[in-house]
Amino acid sequence: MSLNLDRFRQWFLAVFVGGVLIFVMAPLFVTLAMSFSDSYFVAFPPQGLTIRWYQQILTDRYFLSALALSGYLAFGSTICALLIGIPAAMALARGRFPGRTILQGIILSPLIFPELVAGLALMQVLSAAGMVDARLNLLIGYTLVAAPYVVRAVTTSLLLVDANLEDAARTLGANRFVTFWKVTLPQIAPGVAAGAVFAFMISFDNLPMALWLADSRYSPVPLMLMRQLNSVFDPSIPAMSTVIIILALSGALVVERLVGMRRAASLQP
Amino acid sequence: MSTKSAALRLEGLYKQYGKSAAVQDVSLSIEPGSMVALLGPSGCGKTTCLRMVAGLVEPTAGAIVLDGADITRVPVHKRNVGMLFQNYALFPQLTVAENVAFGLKMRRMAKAEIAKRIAKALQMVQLHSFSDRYPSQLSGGQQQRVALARALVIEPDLLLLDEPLGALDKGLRESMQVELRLLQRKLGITTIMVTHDQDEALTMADQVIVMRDGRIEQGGTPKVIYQKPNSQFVATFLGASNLFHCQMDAAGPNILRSGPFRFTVDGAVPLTANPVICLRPESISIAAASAMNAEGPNRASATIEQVIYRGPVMHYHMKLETGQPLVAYEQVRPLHGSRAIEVGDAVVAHWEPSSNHILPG
Ligand SMILES: Nc1ncnc2c1ncn2[C@@H]1O[C@H](COP(=O)(O)OP(=O)(O)OP(=O)(O)O)[C@@H](O)[C@H]1O
Ligand SMILES: [Mg+2]
Repeated sequence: MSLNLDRFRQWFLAVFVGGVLIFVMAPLFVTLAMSFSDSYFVAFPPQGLTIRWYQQILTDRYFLSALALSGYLAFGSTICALLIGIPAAMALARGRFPGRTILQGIILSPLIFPELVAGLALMQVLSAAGMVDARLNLLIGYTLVAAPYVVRAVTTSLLLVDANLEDAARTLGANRFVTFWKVTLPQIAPGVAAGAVFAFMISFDNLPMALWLADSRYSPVPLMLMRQLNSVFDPSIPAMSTVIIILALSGALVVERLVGMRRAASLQP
Repeated sequence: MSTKSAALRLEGLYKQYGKSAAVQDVSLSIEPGSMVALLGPSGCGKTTCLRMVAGLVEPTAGAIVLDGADITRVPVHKRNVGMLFQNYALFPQLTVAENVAFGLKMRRMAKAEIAKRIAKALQMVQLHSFSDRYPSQLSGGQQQRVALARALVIEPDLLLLDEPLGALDKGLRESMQVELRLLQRKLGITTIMVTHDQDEALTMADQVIVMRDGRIEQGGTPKVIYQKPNSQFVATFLGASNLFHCQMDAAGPNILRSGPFRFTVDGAVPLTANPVICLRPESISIAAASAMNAEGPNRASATIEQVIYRGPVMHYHMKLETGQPLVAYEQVRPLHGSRAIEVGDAVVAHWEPSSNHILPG
């Protein structure tokens, strides 16, 4: 009886997880498939098989510079988000100030961040301040969007770290900075890595901020893609999308390696 | 490992958290090389006191004086204290040897010297063969020994223990108590230990400081604290006590009366408004009602309600004629044969006048 139930459960789980996977992954595969279509318009199922769209976009100066800009922005804003987000998380998890628990609650809850509105507000502030470099403005905007993800991931893992470890290190002669570097950071490395990966992904394909902060010279990939969609709709679009997906994935992997999720996970044998 | 013994003085320490005071007016003088236990119920401010001495909590008022120098504002990492925590607080990503090396590295000691000291410290806690293990591969007792080696290897001026054995099981805890105390004596390191276990405090400390609601209730040697508590709180916190609320008796200046019972004390009764007699269970003897007259002071007839065999000690729970409970402990002496006292027996409880300890009401 219980064996049957277990069997049923396993079966159900397999079907359910499989279904979710298909639901999530299907658009990616459809995109991939369409990018090889030998037709003048986007078509699914693809007609024929060609790699000319890839040849076309990989020599397209606009696409390549948009890609470079997006990469630079994603890495830059991830670093900035870590630099801002980790100290903020430390304050939220360890600090003692009035309203800390409320602030912690707000930031840890899955908050709705009206990026379109925030982007508009940011644009107005930046232009009022006379800042005209679109790259810098985008970096600021993306950092703003990405930092909460870092704060959330890091705060959550900080709350799981035994504060006595930090106290022990301090009694052994480590000042606050050394304590953070030698004791706290190795403990929260997985959280930092998760936050960084999130920050990277969020920045890499963020459209709302780009809508307000980009200009004609400096457009990140999502914005460029959207502009392209309005004019032509040939398979170069899914080809670009595929390149973006692959780059975002590998970027996330690189970030994860850099921040050291692996190292943290392999610390304890 | 050489340690110089330091004298520690706490002068009127206060710690305020918001509106409530965690520690109030704690003053304390600790002899070089001695071990002091802070004992008290949960939330009475023991940990807060200890953390103020460590420098992990900043006092709201008061001073901490180490060997004549005021260290109240010295930051924790410059205080040179060794601290043990209830959950060991070993760095999980470091091996045993690396854990022990941590404090030495902070002191920028030469590599060869560090290696030498690690070996010595691990030898001291009998864990030299475990140096390459990770904390997760050790038992609780072993982990706390590593923590002890880590704390002592820096040759601290003070050793601070916050319920260091609280997470261990009874047998191991008792053997670690002895081990820790021997080591502390040998090194002559001034030590403060926090505990809410009165046995642990009595076993290990030269001085026991009983705390209540952030204040010191009473301080003294284990013997004084146990035998001459100065309040009902201390008397009951340090183990079961039989308490009798008394009045002066017209029959004499050294006689107290509580209902039908009379208590005589050596010398005159000190003048307190509502004296309370505290009678330790182990000072009460039991005789069969047929063998002893219940008349007279320092005697009471009672009925046995429960007999508990606790290995070396028998616990007798009795009911007095007034309905009050009375508890007596009796040493089990196998060579003397066992006594046939059973539930329901009528007995006479009796004790010496010197066992009558008077508390303020
Ligand atoms: N960081 C803090 N913020 C606010 N209140 C605190 C803080 N630390 C301790 N307290 C309060 O101070 C009081 C004393 O706490 P403390 O930890 O010193 O007690 P304790 O005697 O060690 O108790 P236990 O035996 O449970 O460990 C408690 O009422 C506690 O709630
Ligand atoms: Mg405590």
